Amino acid sequence: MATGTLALVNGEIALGLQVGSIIIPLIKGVITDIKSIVSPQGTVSYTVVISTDEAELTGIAQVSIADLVAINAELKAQGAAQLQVPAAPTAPSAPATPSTATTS
Amino acid sequence: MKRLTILLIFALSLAGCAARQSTVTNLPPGVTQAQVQSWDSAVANLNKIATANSALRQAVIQLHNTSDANGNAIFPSGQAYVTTLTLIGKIDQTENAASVFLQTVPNSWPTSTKTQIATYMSNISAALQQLNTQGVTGIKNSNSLNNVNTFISEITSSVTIILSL
Repeated sequence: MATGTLALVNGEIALGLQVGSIIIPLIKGVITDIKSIVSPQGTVSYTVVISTDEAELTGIAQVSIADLVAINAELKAQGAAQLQVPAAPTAPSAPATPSTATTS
Repeated sequence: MKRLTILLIFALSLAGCAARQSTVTNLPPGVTQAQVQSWDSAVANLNKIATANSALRQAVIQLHNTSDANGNAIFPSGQAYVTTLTLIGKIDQTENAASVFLQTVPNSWPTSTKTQIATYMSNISAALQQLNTQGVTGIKNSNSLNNVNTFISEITSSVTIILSL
């Protein structure tokens, strides 16, 4: 990842995680904060770790639910007993309007 | 003023590994580096389990919907297929429960957390074992079975790592 290029951009950045096919909006902050996450041998602040991991956990829950819904559809087609689907998790606070690369 | 907004989409392994190899700063009082790193590692590997299990689910259903040269499903309907789906679903239920649990105990890794997570991992291990003996054995193509076993191996590896924390 071109973190050097990102460092030159004086703006805000939104970070998302992809869990399977689901993208979880994560945090929005200054680029130096985000850089710390992708720096393999650097440091990362506690709040960033917690934010990242909580979003990751939300993503895991969402993926598992999507899987269970798909599995139940197959089990139903097979005439087999379906599985209980847990309640959907509450997503972490999301950036206002995430997009893949927009300027305004 | 021009404002740039970028959504970075990280592959989970990238985001996970980067954080896990870093030194965590600004720790709250009473929270140790080791606690955060263990919790962080558990989250990362649970994520790998979720991703691999979802891929496994998709692969199995695809094999069910794919026919061989004779027009027969590579993973035909029957008890093995139902068992496979059910066991993958049980892994989904367990990873869901583990993720909810980990969210309730952020930044700490006491024995109680470790024990609870170990229980979840044991449940997943049991499901994987049953998958190997009573589930994916219904796949009628050895190459397809090998591909499916790759996902099972990935899940097994992550379970082993979590159990070692």
